[in-house]
Amino acid sequence: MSKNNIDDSKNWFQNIGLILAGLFYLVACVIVFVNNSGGKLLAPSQKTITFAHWNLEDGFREGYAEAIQRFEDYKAKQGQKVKVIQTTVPFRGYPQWFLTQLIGGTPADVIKLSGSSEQHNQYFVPLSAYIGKPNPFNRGTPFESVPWKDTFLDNMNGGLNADYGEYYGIGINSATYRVYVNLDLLEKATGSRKMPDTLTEWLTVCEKLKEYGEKIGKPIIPIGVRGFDKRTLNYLFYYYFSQMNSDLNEDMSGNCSPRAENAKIFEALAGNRLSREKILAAADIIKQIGQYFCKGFTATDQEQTKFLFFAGNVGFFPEGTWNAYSMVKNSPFEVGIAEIPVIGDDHEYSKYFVGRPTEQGLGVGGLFGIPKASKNFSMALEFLQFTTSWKINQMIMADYCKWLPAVKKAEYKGILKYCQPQLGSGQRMICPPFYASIGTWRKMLESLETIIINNENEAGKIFWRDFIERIPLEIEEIEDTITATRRTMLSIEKQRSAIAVAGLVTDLQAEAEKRLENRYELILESLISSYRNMACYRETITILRKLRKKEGK
Amino acid sequence: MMGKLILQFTLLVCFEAFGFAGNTVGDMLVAYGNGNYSKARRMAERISDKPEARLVTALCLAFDPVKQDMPGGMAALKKLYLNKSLSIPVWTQAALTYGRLAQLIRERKELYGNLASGVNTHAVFQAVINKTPKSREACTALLFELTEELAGSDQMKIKSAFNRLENFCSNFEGRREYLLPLHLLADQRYISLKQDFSSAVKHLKKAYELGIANPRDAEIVLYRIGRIYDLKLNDKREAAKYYHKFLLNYPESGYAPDVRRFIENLKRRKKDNHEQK
Repeated sequence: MSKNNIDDSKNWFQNIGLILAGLFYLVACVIVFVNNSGGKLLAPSQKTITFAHWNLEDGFREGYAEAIQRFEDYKAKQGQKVKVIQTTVPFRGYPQWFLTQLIGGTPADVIKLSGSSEQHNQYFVPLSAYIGKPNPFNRGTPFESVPWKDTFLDNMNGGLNADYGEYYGIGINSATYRVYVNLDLLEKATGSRKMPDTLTEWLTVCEKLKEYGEKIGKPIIPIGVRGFDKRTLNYLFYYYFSQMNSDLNEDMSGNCSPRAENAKIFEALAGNRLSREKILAAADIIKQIGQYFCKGFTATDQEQTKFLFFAGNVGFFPEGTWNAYSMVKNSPFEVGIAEIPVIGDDHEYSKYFVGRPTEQGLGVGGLFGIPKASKNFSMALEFLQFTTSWKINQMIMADYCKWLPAVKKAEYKGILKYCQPQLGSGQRMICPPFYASIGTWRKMLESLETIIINNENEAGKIFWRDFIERIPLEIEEIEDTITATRRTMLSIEKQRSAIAVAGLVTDLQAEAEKRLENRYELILESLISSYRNMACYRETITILRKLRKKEGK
Repeated sequence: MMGKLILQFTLLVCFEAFGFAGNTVGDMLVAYGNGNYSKARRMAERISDKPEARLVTALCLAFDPVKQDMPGGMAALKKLYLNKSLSIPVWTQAALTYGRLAQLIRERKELYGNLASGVNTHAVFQAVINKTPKSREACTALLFELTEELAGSDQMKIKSAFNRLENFCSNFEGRREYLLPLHLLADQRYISLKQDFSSAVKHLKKAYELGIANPRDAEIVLYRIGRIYDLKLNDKREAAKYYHKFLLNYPESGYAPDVRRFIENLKRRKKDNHEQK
């Protein structure tokens, strides 16, 4: 082939490449333009709203797709062409994406809330004007004339932003915590499909699972965990601590909270009025349970453990009910769902057992709000009302993603029967008092991890030693919280003055005036809570110092 | 299409430039109330002769996170506070914010230095109370003042502050709802400073009856009333009354199982006492 021919073919290929690049550019431009027009270019009479969240769990998007279809049909019957576009962004990048969208002024019309309460106040439409009126989509249901907020399990308390005296989001679901069991594996290892009721039974079954794995030469993990984000460890510690100490909610509550107050617990410990063994017993229980986690449990994340569970390598997986459907649907074996076993009479710590904590009064989460930048506020509000109406919320949550619905009087069917809130023995959960904020929370769990890994004989003692060592860090965190509370007070005054100034408008409607008064009241109540909290933080610092001194530090 | 856009843009510019957009005091107040500082400030500049506009400008200086100028805001608020010819509603808001900001600034010397050291907050709050004795603002002024007075360790000062609080609540001639935050503060301080549960529960009951705005707090307040009667005042009859009221109002609450147990305990104790007799 001559040099000229080679050059010609090179030029030809280059031209093709250039043309293709140009074509791709044009197509991309058209797609971006069409998307940005919200479909108006193709169908000018159509109204388009966008709906964004991070939920990739099984059934969630499908449930909302069905709700969207029904909403579009309903609007079409009214003679309005509406299109709702559902967008999902994975959780890891969601907070950044969320904020970028808000700052850029192009957020979805209905969007799952992330970020701080300040951001909600800055970027979201206050909804208090609407939640006191009945949801129009509840017509023909038991909630026909009930205010929208009173149709929710928690009367929308979870949506109240007390700092600003406003509601910026509407919740969609509730959740409990359960243990998922590979029943086939359980039967192979123990000869029975019976799930353990007590902690001792659970530990015995775990031992059998371990032995079974050794016998068949397969690495069986008796208990799978979300170790990387420490969530399983945290929940198990919280749960067993509550089983033995929730009575302190009655004896150690005071001016700061109707729950047990850390300062009071430490004071009782310092004055030898409270058994240290009782307070530390949960650390020992966690050590016992932890012997059945996989070797590298601190590095395994949720997805890895789910994968191992589906592959048949995990016996038990304690996890939230938001994963219930995913666990059942993707497992090629029968999955049992049970409550986490309680400390039975046959356990050494049964003397401290006060009862199974209650799940009554659970909050509602998964808040969705409407950004101020939305160009379709009324349609977005209608969509939010539609999807949180009694029938549709149950359809999305119970029928599709098998989550606990947010609405009252919901029917718990199928696997939800195993996930629904249980009364237990009526004791409320109690927060372990060994941390102040995120830093010491992490350190507390790291201490438990080390105790598990070293299979420490005196788990309680070591846990206590680590806690005493952490006190300076804990005090630092509490002092930071006091500073943050002071900053909040300036923000509270900013809000108070804004509401008062808005109240100077002479021709305010009675309803608007009432709303302003309510917000004013909420702001002042929030101010008093801030003062109460600051006093409690200071009290905790004093007693922590005393405790450390008593321990010879 | 392009021509339409250019026309719209030109009209918008003219509209803004000649000040047709949101020219009224009401629009400006609404903009400020919604936290739209830049819009509120722009509007206030256009009607700067109005007292409301001066108030909004001063508040924007103090609170606008983008263009905050605390010394400027304090100076402007002080000017309004000292202006005797302002209408009472405008003056009251200026005075209340001026006094409150001075309190908050003093607590954060590391940030604001001595910016508010010369402000006599007592005089400012007292002026608000004297000028508008039946108003919500009078209650707020007293609340702000008492948060400081009921925080120190000077027993004489504390006693006098409690007396002031009680007198104010008894003699207040405005709407009783305005007293609600004062009742909540009283509950908190009677317990923390004097361990006086009897006075605390009296104020808590009043607060509950007046209708606490935060539903979570309302639930907790009713729960606490029962607990105080039960554990601190040993008045089991009143305790049972409030426990029953709690179950009636909040049957689905997370505290309801506790309250049911407390009622059972009371019944058991009553039965035991009968048997002993």
